Amino acid sequence: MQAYIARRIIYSLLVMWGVATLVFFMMRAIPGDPVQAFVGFEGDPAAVAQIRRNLGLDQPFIVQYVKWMGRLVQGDLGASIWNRQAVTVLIREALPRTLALALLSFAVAVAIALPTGIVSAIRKYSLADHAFTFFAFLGLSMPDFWVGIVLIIVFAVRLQWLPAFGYEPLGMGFWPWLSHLILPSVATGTSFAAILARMTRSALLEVLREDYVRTARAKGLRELAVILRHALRNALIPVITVMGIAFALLLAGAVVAENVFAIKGVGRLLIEAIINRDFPIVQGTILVIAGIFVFSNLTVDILYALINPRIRYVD
Amino acid sequence: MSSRRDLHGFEEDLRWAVDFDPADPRLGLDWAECSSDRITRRTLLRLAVAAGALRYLAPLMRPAPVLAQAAGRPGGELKAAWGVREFTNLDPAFINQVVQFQVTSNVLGGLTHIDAGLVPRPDLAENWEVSSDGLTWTFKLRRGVRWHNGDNFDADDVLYTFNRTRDPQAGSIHRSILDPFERAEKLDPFTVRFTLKEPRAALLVKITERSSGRALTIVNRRAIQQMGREYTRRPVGTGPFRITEHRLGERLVLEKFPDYYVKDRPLLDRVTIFNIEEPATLVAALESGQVEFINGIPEALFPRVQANRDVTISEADDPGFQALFFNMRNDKQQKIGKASLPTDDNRVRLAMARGMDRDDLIRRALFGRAVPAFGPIPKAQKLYFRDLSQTSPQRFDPEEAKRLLAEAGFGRGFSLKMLVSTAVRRRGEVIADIYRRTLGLNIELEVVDFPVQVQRFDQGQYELLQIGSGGDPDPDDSIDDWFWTSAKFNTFGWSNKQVDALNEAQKQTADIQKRVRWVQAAVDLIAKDAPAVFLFHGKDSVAYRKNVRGFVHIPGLRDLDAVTVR
Repeated sequence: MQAYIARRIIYSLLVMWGVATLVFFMMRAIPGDPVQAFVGFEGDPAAVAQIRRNLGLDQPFIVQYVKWMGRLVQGDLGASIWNRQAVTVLIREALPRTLALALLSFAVAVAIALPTGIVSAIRKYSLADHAFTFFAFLGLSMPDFWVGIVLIIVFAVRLQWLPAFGYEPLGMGFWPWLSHLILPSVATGTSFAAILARMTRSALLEVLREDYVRTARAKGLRELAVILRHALRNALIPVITVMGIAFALLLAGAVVAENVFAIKGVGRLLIEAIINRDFPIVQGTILVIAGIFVFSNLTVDILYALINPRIRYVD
Repeated sequence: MSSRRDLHGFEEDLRWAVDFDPADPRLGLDWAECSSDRITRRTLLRLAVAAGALRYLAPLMRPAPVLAQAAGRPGGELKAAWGVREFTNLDPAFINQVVQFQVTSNVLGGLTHIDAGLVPRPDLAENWEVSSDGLTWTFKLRRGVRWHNGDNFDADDVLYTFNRTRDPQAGSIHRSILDPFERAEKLDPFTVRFTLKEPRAALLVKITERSSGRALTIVNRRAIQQMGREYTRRPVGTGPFRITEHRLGERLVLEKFPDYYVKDRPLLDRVTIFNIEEPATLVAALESGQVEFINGIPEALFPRVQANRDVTISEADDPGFQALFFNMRNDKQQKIGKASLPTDDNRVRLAMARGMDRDDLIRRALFGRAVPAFGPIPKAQKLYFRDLSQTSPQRFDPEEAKRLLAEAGFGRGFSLKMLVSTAVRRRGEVIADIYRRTLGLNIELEVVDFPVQVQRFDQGQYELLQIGSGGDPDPDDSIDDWFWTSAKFNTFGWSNKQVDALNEAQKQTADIQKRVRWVQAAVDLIAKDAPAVFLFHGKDSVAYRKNVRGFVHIPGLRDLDAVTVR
């Protein structure tokens, strides 16, 4: 058991190292130089050269890599080339925003998808089913970006019910925090809701055809009990699997919402850093995101092993 | 105060300023008249004209209209939004965007600060004297000025700033601005003396210039040493507002500095500036009232903002130009893999200039918020600008364009790649479409990120490049920076001996009449030889809700010290 855990931890670290190295060299392989971009057209070449020297960017890649690795193992992610801020600070400020957005989008998606998916399955081919299917495809087709702007115009400009942009930390009060997140969560959550609704519907339909469901009905259980107590639980297994990659999907969706609603989350931080060729931020952010994935996979693997000793990966 | 009266006075001053004998070494002035207690707007203009340094003042040429409004009560908070991703640098030594300076102008000070009436108002310098040979400038500094961190301001701060900007190790991008200075000395805790290498009437103007950060915007040594990198996020200054919070890319909070040396200023207690890069959201935020002031109006949304009765718009001419540059380098094979291009032939270039329907471009890509350009000199450079729309060899004439193309042997058109940055993709698409319709050309777009654009521009790796210049108050910025053989932005390999000679002459002369003639002759030659198709000159606009009062729009700046909110 301990060997198993140890092996999984080592593999996780190897994956992290691989990600770090890949990102490091990939960013330097693409055209575009951060210092030149940062100084812009006006800068005189001497100043550009000096800044590169100050930042150690004039040294050979391998030297830069070794230095960076050295700092990395001490927990130092370096500083942004553009604004000289510590990457850890930038990420620490951005992460709560993205997590809050992802969580709420998830809640919105589930709140919409589960009921509609269940009703669609139970009342297959009814008017309700067709209507929900239609709206599901609509939700999938409408770009999050456009939905976001429309929501702003309707709810912020016209009705003045909610703020048009921005983020307030929880410390400023629960309602300010929530009210700023409602519109972006709806914008992001609706497309995921569509996927989830369709998945729920088809999973439930599958399960409803199973023998044990027929048995339950034959036993004389009310239809509602059949569905809720027997069918749904099994139907939810594939759905939960999809929810597992929800984090990835929502992170992608969050980038769009973060842009439209001017929320400085991890998504925006990363995209802007890539555009600016701000190597330390890109490296640090991708490492943190990869770390979250790797760590949660590791946790799940270990939990599986603990719960069911028969589960082992072929190592 | 009637704005019309002020404008009239200004025109008169300008006329007076231009009218002098350039051979007169004293420029019809006493150096003593340059001293702080006697300097007037027209003296400053005369100096600037004589030094060929009208450049630094030209963006302020139109005195901002001071509307007759009821002044609001002091106090209160303003919520504003800037349409920029983040304020990357607020350290004057590294500022490279006007939007950054729009913030620091409220937080940091200089020896002088130009006000809306174009008079250099003593800021950190209380008064100054100039020696009779114009080489020595002695500044008496203001006493009792405090820094936001409690330090007392004195001559050491000025010297520190001067040396820091000049220090190659510090890496300031504005180092070369201080080249004309020989040295700076502290005579006593409140007196600084600058010695110049040669008399430069433009010194006063240089100290006040604001278009690319100020080399002599005074910074605080203790704060820089303590804060290190943080200084560029929350610079400590002597201005009316201090920065109390800066969440990079999200918001910046300015608070009233109670010890500001000007009594009763600023009027607001607090200003919160949000970063909203997405244009639709920026405007929506203003419309919903969540913010009351935005620093710029996205072109596509201008009509919507204009139609909004709760919003006031202030628009000025942005001094600059946008153009489509050709590549005429000798090393094209090495740079772009092609030894020659159809545009090597001057007739083809002229054909493309004449085939450009600028009105259509402005309507479709800029939603009307620009004026056509036929040369690099913008309207803001009042003395040098001419309306060339009827006479320019580049004016729109599709028939003539087709004829030229046929004459050069390209009657069937050709293909070219145009490099544009992601931000102006739409503009690129409209340009390509116009050329397809008028000349049957196939222009392929290469849309790249900004860092790539900078790199390829520097290297001359393009066939066609849409790029331009901003903050050009003087012909030196429009011509000397671009259109002669060794110009710093001439990566397109263009060389014309006559223009070289004209440029050399214009940048050294103090004779304004000659300068105007030479500049205009150069522009004519440039238009004819067509190293670029000149497209348009843009606009600098601001919008704010009607409850915001007292805002004076100096083109390029967003000074908020006189603003109140009702």
